[in-house]
Amino acid sequence: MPACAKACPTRSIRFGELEELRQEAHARVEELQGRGYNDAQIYDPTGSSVGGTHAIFVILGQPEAYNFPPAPEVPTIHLKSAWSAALVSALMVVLVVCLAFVL
Amino acid sequence: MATNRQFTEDRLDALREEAARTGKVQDHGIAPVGSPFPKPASAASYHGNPVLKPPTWTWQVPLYFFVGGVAGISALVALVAHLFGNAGLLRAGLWVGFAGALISAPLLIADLGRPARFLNMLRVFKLRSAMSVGAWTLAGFSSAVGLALVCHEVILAGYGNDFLLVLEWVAEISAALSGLILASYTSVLLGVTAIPVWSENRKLVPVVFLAGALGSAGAVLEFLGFLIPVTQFIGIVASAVETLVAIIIELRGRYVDRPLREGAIGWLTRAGAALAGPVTLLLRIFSGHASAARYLAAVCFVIGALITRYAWIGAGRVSSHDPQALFRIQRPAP
Repeated sequence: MPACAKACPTRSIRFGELEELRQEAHARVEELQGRGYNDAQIYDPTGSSVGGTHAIFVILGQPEAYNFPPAPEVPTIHLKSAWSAALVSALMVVLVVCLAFVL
Repeated sequence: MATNRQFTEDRLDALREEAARTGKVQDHGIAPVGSPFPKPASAASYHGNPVLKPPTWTWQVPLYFFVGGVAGISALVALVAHLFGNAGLLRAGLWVGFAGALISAPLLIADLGRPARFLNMLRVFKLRSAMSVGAWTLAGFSSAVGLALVCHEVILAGYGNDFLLVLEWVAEISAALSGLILASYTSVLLGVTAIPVWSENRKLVPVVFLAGALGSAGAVLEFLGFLIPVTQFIGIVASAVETLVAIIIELRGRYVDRPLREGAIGWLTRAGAALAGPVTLLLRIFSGHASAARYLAAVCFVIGALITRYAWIGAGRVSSHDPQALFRIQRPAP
């Protein structure tokens, strides 16, 4: 167990199996919402291309306020569109150079 | 003071009532005596601190982008010149490509800090990494253009045979293809990072970099004395594209493009775009074939394209400091 989790006096930092922690987080959020903290939520971006951050946060309000990216993506998902644009541009360059000799 | 205190108490009562009624408080509270206290920024972020780390690329990288682009496109021009039987331009294009390759490698290696790291880059080939593709492309391009140049010079010296002729063609075609990748992969390299201004322009940066490389290759050939219609046409198209890109960036007016329009880097971007775009375009169109004007246009374009490379890298640095640029991509502003 990491020292920070061991030493945390309020048990705010926890360490353990991800699935157990997820259940705990859900329970905690439900409890908070029951007490009127309607903006309590879990930050755990497993649905996107990053596939989770190996850490789960129970937060109040928007993720942005904690500098968490609201919908993080792995930059390399854009490889295809970037290379496609490069390919099209490169073909145009070939065309222009050929035209330069023809005209 | 008494009225202030009265107001404060009344406001607190109203807030308590609202809390009791609805279970939460939407409105702002009070500004008690002794304020201002720190307030949250209007747009949510962690006190405006950056989310991303800034790119740490050194001055060699944009210069490498530029030189690599010129070298790659020169090799392409050499191949097409060969196809159309322009022997002078073929030789010059190969020389420029080879010289560019010779300059590119040290620049790319120098920015790594320790030269041996370049060998680590060649230890793997990873299609998913534009940087790995680029390192291999540079190695392949340098070999191909070097081989083509050696074959060409040996044949020119009178020692030609069929094998050398075929080898020269193969080397030239390889150099032209890898040259195109060399000139364009750098834009993909920017486009697939998390830096907002690069990522959101991943379809525009290839156009900017390739147009810059094309025009600069033409300009370098003009410096070498090729004041022919071929280089004039290449120069006009390249600066027309640069002009168009600048207009797109200005008119689109996106938040994420702010580093390209505002502040020192914004003006650097504009200066580069103006030099490589309208200034060169007007010089080329209105001065006809006067050689002084063409040299001037070539100089303007090269400086403009070089500035543009530095401006794009600088814009990435500015963009990485702005948390809202990132948040707005992931959660578009209403």
